[in-house]
Amino acid sequence: MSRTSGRALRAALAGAAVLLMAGCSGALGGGSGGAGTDTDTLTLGLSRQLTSLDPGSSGSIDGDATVQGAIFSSLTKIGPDQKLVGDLATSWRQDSDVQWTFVLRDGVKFSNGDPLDAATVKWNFDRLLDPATKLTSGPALRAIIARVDAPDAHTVVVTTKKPYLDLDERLSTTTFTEQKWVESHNPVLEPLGSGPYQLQSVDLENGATLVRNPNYYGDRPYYDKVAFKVLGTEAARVQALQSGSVDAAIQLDPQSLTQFAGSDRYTTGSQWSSWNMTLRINETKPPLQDPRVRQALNYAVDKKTIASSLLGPDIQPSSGQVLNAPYDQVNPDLQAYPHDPAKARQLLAEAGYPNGLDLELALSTGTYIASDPIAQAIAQQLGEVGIRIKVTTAQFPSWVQRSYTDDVADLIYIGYSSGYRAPAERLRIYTSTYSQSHFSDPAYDALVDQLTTATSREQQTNLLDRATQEFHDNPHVVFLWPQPLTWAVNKNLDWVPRPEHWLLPQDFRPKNAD
Amino acid sequence: MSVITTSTDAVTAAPARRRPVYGIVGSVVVVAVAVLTIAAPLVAPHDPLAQDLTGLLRPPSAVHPFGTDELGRDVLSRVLHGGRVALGVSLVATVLSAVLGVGLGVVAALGGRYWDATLGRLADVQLAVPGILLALVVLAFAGSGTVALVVVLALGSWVLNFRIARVHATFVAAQPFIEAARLAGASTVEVVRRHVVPALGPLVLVAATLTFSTVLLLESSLGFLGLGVQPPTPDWGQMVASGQAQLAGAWWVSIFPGAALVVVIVGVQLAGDRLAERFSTAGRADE
Repeated sequence: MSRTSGRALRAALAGAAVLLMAGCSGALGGGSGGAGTDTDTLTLGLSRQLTSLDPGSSGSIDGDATVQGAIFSSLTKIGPDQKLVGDLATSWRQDSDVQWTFVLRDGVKFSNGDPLDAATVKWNFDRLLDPATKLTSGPALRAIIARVDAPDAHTVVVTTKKPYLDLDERLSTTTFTEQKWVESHNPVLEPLGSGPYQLQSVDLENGATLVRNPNYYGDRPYYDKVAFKVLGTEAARVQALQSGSVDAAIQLDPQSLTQFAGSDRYTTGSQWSSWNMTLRINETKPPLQDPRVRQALNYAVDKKTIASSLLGPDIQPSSGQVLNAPYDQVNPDLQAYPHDPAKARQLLAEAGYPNGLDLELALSTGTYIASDPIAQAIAQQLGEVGIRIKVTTAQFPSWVQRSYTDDVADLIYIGYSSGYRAPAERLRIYTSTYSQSHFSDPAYDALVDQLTTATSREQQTNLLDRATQEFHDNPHVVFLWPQPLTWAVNKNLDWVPRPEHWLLPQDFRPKNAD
Repeated sequence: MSVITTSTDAVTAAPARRRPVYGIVGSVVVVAVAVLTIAAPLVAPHDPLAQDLTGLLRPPSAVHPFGTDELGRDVLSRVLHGGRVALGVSLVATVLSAVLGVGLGVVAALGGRYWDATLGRLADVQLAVPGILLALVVLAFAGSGTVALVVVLALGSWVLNFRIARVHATFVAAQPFIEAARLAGASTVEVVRRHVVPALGPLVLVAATLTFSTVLLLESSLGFLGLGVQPPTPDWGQMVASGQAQLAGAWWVSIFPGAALVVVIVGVQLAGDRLAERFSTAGRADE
């Protein structure tokens, strides 16, 4: 073998390594395993790393909350059909504007066999309401709830600070653990709940393994064992599906989904979700303090074209509000800002930026569907009216940490979902006092405060319309679209997609299972 | 390492003579790619940044010979323009690496035991730190600017040049004609300028072909990881990454920039081999 060809061969191999970096995800595997043939273990892909399994932590439904949703139970819950039903509570009633009574079911036990009664529920609320515990779900509940009492083992009485029409739905994501357990264990990594599953092991970075809770009071879930796998990037999700190592994954770019359209392993789909996407604006710096500049941003983005081409033909832009039908109640009188580059240029000139301006748009890697091409498309369209965009990307933890500070990028591409539809809570995310808001708008804040304490549906609707109109005219975001829910699920499984992104193991069963 | 052995090959038996066809093919390929990328604004059929949201991920066709990417941009135009960045950055980094390596190598060889030991340990430390790791750390702090990128790439590759330059400069400095030059009154600087550096030229040129390939691969890896050239400016590594998730459905987004990388690297290596042969033959003729 001559030296020349030997070296050339090595060079070719080195070069091929580059292709291999990409190719390794492209190998169409035929891996075995998966629930289609295995009745024991169900493997589900999460799109975000876990941070805490403590029921007092408010985690994303794309990560923590879904795992918590399999381990814990709540007073009420929202089913796949979007209807509110009892979970721990068999019934509940609103006694007055500020008092609600929940009646608990009999014989509920934690997965370790200890009983869960009204006193346990009260202790959990006290824990959340106590600022000293620093639980992330606490502040939002403290704003609403004055006190919780347990007059007997089956009755929980919740007293709100002011009227709160949607309390029953709002509490559908408040879950419970045991005092004795929390005092002797670390609830972040060793959760104890009363839901369909109990934790077997967890590795926050990579996933968690759950087994069936033998003491669960509800319908027995089909699978004995569940493995949640963290697939933090689009490439990781596609690779896991191609190798057949997960039974279901959500949060796939529509462009990736087409690869599985003819798959004999997966069914794919896409529908609307409850995730409302916007570009949040940092108004602590001069150009963006001017409402004309923020309106110009809204006029400059062609939301319709981007949504239909990059997110799916069915995705319509938000109608000039941070809410989207059919999940949310919306203000029917509002329209999306039309795509009008001339108007955008005119507003920029009036605001004193005839030569445009430079802005940073920060993305979180792999968190939102198709965020890289979306950012490139938005950057191009803003560029056409003279707004020069520098796109930066960071991993979710550092990106979200930065979003809480005034040093956040001028624009961030972000979406929110919640397990409940309470209009006040959906709008509160965009008030000045919210942790990721970097602006001041007392008029809007006051409207949302009034909305929170509305005492009738008519009053609620009226205030919702006023608040959304106010926010539309003086926008603190660039209104975009509802993110679609996309999925690839093993063909042998029955599952109803949930718009909130819940990927709950108790929702899965084999087709034709009795 | 084959490059180093070429200097000793000169005094051993000559290998069988080979036709230079591989070297010519390699050179032609490299020159062709270089010309095409330099002339990208003239030869690219489309604007590499022009998005067409109505034509995403179109397969190769007459209008788009390499297809379109996830934003409807023409992949051929992006490959051509992407080469400007990838090859330009790698070339500058290679030159910088050669200058740094040869400079320090000569100092180590002729500067006395203290310099030799210090620079030798520095090179050892540099070798112990993987280039990609160094690049990740530096770029995370310094940001992904072109200057930072070039510096990081040069820092990751100067040791090879240093080692070659040091060994060969030491060898040259021990030759009788150097002693003669010194007796004739030549200063160290003159010896280096007139005798040592010219003797290093061919070796460094051959080493540069190897360095260039390493640097180009590292540059592409950084682009792949999102730390190299930033979008929307096209770059081969970054393009491979952007098509990664679509590889089974839209292979052309990743494969064409990946193929461009392979072609350039193989071409440079073949040309480098030919150069190595030429210089070792020349060395024999001298003796």
